[in-house]
Amino acid sequence: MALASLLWLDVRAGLRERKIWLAVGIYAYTVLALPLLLKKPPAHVTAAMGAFFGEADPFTLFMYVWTDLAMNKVVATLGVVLAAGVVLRERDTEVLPLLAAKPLTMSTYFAVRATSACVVAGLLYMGTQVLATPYFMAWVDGFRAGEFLAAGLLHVWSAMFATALAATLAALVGKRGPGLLLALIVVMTLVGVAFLGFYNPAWRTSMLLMNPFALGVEAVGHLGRIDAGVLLPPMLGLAAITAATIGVGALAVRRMEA
Amino acid sequence: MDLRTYRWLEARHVAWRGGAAALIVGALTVAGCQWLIPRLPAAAVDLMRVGFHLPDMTAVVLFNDYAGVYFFTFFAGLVGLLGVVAAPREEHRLELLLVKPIPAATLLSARTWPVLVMTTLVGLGVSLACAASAWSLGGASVSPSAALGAGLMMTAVVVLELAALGAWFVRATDTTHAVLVALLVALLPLAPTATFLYRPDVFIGREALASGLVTASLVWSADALVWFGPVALAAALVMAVGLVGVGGRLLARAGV
Repeated sequence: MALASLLWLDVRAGLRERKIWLAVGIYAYTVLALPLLLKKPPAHVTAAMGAFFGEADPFTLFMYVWTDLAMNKVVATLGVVLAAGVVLRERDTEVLPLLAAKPLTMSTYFAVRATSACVVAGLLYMGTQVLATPYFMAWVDGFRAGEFLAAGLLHVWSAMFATALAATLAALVGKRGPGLLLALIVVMTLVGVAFLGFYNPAWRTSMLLMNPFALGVEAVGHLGRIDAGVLLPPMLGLAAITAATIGVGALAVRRMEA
Repeated sequence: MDLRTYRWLEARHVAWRGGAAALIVGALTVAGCQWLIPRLPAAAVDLMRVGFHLPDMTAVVLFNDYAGVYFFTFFAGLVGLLGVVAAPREEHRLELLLVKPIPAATLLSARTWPVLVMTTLVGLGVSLACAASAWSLGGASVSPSAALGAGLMMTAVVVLELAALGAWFVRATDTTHAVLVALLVALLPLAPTATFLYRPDVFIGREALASGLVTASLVWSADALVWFGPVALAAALVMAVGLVGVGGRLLARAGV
């Protein structure tokens, strides 16, 4: 119970940070710019959609660009910014002794902070999806709100996994600068190849097994037939990997000295 | 202790290992692109080839490599740059640095220049990997020296971005906010390239705009980049002198 209220307080504090306004601005720019970007898709883009996803309709293109070009880049960026340095920052700014004097182990503290960063990332993502829906309904031809929101319910786990991964990688390195560098390289690279299994169907299975971010974009390959059977397995997979990632980070900070 | 010894000591404390790691990962990414892209089905390669007007497979591979030069160089430099003033301020160490009998501008340049030199070296190293990739692919569109020049052009852009960010970081109080701003600075210049893929009609009749803002022009102008890339890098380093000077003046007036 005490942990839940700590988590709640930390989420609220996280949402009040200055960088959140910038994050909201980034999401707003993404939403506003996308209909303009997709107004007149050239033939080579439409042809590629048919080859990747079996469908070449405007909504498939919209979902691909929204998920890959827009949301994937934003969730990778925000994940690293929100979480790379959780606990390490407290140590380096010398507030850790204060925390160490509370009835809370370092592992628990890390888990709460990383989870709270994931919740903040998830709230920003879902808030964007919900607020963007009426705008896209008005401005994007053939927009299907139900599928857009359903795909978002899965892809939001990519946002949370990116955040958890950044937190844990930095914790494993144990130093803020090098930890940030590793998180940037790993998260950006994995997110960058999230759609590789669609580009080359021969690699589809191995990509799903090797790259958790490939799970997050599964819905884009099943437009028109998204149901619980499509959404739930990757969603549960990502949730489990996210939890395990935070667990590894919690183990890594176990012996950190205040 | 003279200033030369001081500068030497500061240079030794830069995150050289981070730079080396970024260089190795960058070179591995170049190798990975060379292995991976030719194994993609025609549809995926054609999207890049037709969309970005790339003449052959060598051009498609190198077009992706240049993005690698850009990001890995930027990441290495960004992390180094945070250690100049922003992280010490956040960790309450800036006062200690500023009470040394060294002018603020000298302190900033002594701590910033090793980062910019490290960034340049990472860019040069990954660009050499691009040149090696171009040589082994052997395509007609991009020669190894053109690939090196294009990589150095990307490095020049990164050096300029980081030097400008460095001046702004002098006032930063929250490193996570600074990182977010920096990543925006890195990502936004790529927006015209994405626009070129999905809205090529915007650039019709605006060829100068396309060659100035779309990264595919690193392939289109391959021959010119043999000399223009190194010149641009030199020019960026000269402009960085001015930006570091601006940062120094800001630091002299900024509080801890």
